[in-house]
Amino acid sequence: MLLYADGHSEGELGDPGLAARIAAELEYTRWPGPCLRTVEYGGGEYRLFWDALGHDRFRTVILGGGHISRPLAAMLALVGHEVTVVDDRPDFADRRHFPQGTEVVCRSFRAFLDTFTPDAATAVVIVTRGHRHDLECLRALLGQPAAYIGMIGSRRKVAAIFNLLRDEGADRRLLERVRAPIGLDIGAEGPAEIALSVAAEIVAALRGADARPLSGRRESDG
Amino acid sequence: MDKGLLRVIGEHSGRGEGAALVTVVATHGSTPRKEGAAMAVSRSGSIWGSIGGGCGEEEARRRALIALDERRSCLHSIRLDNSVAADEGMACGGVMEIFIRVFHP
Repeated sequence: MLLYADGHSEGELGDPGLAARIAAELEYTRWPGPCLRTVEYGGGEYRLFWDALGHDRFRTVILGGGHISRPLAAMLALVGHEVTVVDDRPDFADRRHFPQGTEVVCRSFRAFLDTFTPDAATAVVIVTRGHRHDLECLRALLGQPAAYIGMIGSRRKVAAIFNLLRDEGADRRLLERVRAPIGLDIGAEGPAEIALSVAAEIVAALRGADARPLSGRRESDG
Repeated sequence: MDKGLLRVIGEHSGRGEGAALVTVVATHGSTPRKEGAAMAVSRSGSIWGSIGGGCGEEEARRRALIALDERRSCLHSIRLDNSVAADEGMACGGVMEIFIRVFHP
């Protein structure tokens, strides 16, 4: 049986009453990922496997085409993401700098974001060349249903931008969802290592993982 | 689920060959892939996608070919602690429940 987001369904399970029961039960349940559910019906028990179509590939949009974007686009393409890179400078929005298959958009960030709505399988990385552009991008993205929004910058720069947005009336809870400074703490040095720490953080966010070492060890444990 | 697998199945059905969709629907213990991992198996035995590789995937492929011959969808448990896998040093130790859905041409 296929269930659509608007509530209607297609196909059958042999018993219209069972199908209606399942449709009603799932309509207000958040999909927790692929899972088996048990449904009692007509004195018996049914095991149902609930999967979703449509999120076949994760997507990452990288705002800014600079020195971090290039290794980041390459790494994310390698793990199977659809990657989009946006920059308003033709020299940087140059597809020769990015892996084959990367969508490279040469437009102002504002114009791109006006026509872009991220969904729950999309990560957005803000790595433009300057604070002004970063601020503009973050302002446009706050409150959008992206799975991940990260912004590069030192703690000081991040605090300054967050303060400004709070003064403009931005919701504190929305700001808390922004990953800034961006990336996992792997002691990254240089663009490629920073890209690695960001790529790892994105995968963890999209997969709903907390990015702990699987061994449970910390360097400080000795 | 990966829409690419549906395309593969659609193409095989369209050509009159049929195909099976193998989906991991439950896992117990350590397994290489979790619920939702899926692969398509054609009548010639080719695989698209992966449910974790190794001996477990090979067993699932064989089961899918049998299901295609019998034209019957079915459930199977695949133990990843079997002696062949252990001899190969590949045992995860867990159990995967797979659902094999047969798509007739």
